[in-house]
Amino acid sequence: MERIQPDEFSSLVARYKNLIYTVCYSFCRNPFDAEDLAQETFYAVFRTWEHFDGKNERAWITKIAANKCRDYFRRSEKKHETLSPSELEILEDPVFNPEMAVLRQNENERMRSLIKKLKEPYQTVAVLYFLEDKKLSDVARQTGQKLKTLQTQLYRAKKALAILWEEEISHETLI
Amino acid sequence: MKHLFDVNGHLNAETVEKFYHHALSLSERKIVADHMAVCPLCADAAAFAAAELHQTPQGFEEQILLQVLEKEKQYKQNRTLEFLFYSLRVAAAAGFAIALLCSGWFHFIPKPEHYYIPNFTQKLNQTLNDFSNRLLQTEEYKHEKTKK
Repeated sequence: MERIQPDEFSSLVARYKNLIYTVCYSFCRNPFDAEDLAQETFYAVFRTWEHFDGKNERAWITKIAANKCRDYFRRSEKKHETLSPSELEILEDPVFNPEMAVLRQNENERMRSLIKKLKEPYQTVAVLYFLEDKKLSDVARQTGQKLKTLQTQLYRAKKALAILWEEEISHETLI
Repeated sequence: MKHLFDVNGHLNAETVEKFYHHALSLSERKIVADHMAVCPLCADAAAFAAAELHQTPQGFEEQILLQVLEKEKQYKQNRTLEFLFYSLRVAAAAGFAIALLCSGWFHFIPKPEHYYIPNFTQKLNQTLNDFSNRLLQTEEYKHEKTKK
């Protein structure tokens, strides 16, 4: 196979994004890590398209996703991630709110409650991206902010949220 | 963990169903990942069995495309830098070698004129001269013979 063309790649992403995200989420059970793993999968597909034998696209991409998740498990074994000092900076001061524990009934609510722990501007960008389903390019156009800035904010927010998610899951398992 | 596989060594239907219902333990998920990463049949079976798909955020596709563009740009920049450094190293090595040769640092090596190194052009000329002389001699001899 030759190198994949941008249009072809874009169409491939549109076709398989939900499947790959679902597979990654089923492995890691963390929506933020799942999104990163799915993105890594598609980047690997882009880089290695020439090695695809042209037989079963779905199986090949799913195999790559499983590979990425395997690496994710290996990385997780080596280190237990906690928030670094710079990541802690983007969190609001913790306020104990017993009502929030009741509200965390499903994943969206859990996500919402974790996002509320972020400081601005990370909270806003996380709300827009995860809860209001907005594209960063649209947000950049509407607010006049640079896309690169929003991407960086989203990256930092996602990293903190992934760790918070894991901490909460571990905490619930212990209770 | 044999309960995860069927008699043919592939993930059984129950495992795949539990996988999507988040009912596998961490160690079971690791085993499933290890297997699915190398088995296209099981990867395809798992993909086929995914009934309810989680929806990605709307900006997800855009993020992937931006990330791919960014990474490709970095990859090309890295390749250009690598090639540049490689060229500089080769040029530096060649320059160093020439500088060494011209510096006279190798004066302890005996000069070439102490040894007989046949000059190729001279030898060729000599050979050709010898050959033409022998031709002439042969012609003279024939001529003398004919004259007699």
